[in-house]
Amino acid sequence: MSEVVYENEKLKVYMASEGAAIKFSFEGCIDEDFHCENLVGKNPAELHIDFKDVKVINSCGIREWVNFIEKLGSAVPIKYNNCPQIIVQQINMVDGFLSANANVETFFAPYFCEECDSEHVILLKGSDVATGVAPTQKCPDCNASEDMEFDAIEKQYFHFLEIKKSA
Amino acid sequence: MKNLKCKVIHSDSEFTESLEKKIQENSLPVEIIGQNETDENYLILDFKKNPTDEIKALLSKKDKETILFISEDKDSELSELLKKYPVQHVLRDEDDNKLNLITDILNTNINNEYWSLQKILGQSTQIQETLFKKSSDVNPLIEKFVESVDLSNAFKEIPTYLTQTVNELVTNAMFNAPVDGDGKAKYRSMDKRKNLDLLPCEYVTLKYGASDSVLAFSVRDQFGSLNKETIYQYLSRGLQEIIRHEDKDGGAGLGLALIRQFCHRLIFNISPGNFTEVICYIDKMKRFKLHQTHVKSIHVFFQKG
Repeated sequence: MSEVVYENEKLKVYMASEGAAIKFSFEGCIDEDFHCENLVGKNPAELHIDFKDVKVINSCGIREWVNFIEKLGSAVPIKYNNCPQIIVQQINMVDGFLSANANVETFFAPYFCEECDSEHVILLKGSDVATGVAPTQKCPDCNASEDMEFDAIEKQYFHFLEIKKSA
Repeated sequence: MKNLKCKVIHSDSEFTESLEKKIQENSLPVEIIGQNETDENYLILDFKKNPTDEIKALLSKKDKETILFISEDKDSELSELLKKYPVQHVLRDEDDNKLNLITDILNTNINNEYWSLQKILGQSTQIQETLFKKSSDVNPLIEKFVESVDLSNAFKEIPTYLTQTVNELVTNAMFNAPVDGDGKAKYRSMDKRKNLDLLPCEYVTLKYGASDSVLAFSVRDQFGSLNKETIYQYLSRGLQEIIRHEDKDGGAGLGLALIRQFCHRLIFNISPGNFTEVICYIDKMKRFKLHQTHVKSIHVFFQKG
């Protein structure tokens, strides 16, 4: 069961229990209107954040996000899940978007099938990219014998995994 | 029309010759002067050719416009340079169109003009226009804009990036551009969660057009309040590999970093006291990777008094 714990015109945040952990699921646009007060102070054993339905995040939203993560503190382990491309971009670019106590568990990555000329976003686990190389994927549309091509620059796209390794 | 003197310091020995030929083809009143001469109006520099100290010495000379060639892996060096030295045009060696771009830049300067959206897209491309009058209109109007743009031949995620980029530019033009009679920012410190109703003289204009292969849009305020120092400070910050959030109130540079990652040509037209126009030009690519690796350039046109 999940309940809405935060809502503005452009963003809804749902909260659900996952054992001793709690999960916040974000849906919509993270911008200057995002207030994090209702989301801090829950003190779970672990915090899971689901970004699957985040459509847009602007620079003011990024600022609010960094403030939110700072307010959560460093004691509770945080897991980011279902990070779309636009969130992966912020994680790679903005200092503090992913705090030291946070890890990316799952994220979407772009692939391209040369055979049927189609794009796909595939959900990957951080652990799938152990060596900084994108895992091979088959096209879900045409089942071509050739694997799809990873459609971003691996060094840039998986930068956050390197940072975590070297931390 | 004025005559320009241009000094070229480039690592490719054939470059100057090709440029000279191009200038002649276009009948531009531009003279390429010798390396020992010092009365140039335009400097064309190549980061590979010049050690950083030499570049700084050349850039510190006032009243010169500069075109700098620098590769994308040197963005942190470029960021350092822009903190202190204005570079009007940043181009990449890999840019196949570099000679045309330079002659366009020189021609624009000779005529004291700007690069307009229509000029960039070609006269036959239809330009649409949207006016932003209040902050509560920003998201619905951007949504409409994105729905109306021809996104064929572009990668799937492009609507998200488009939304983000236009949102950054329009919000900035609404809250940061308007100044009062004393030149003080009117709305910069306002809580952005509150609705802002702009006066007609403060309305923000979004223009856009697209062809099969290109998409471009511009956002224009009616103030031109962005000074040279501020724009280069923002550009410098936007070029850093990791953006640090030391400015918790303004977020200066972060928005520009997001925009820069998305746009292939980023153009600032600034007429101080009149308007600032930011033009974003995107070569449509079906693959995200090609979009990301495609050559990028930055151009700043300041109207001279």
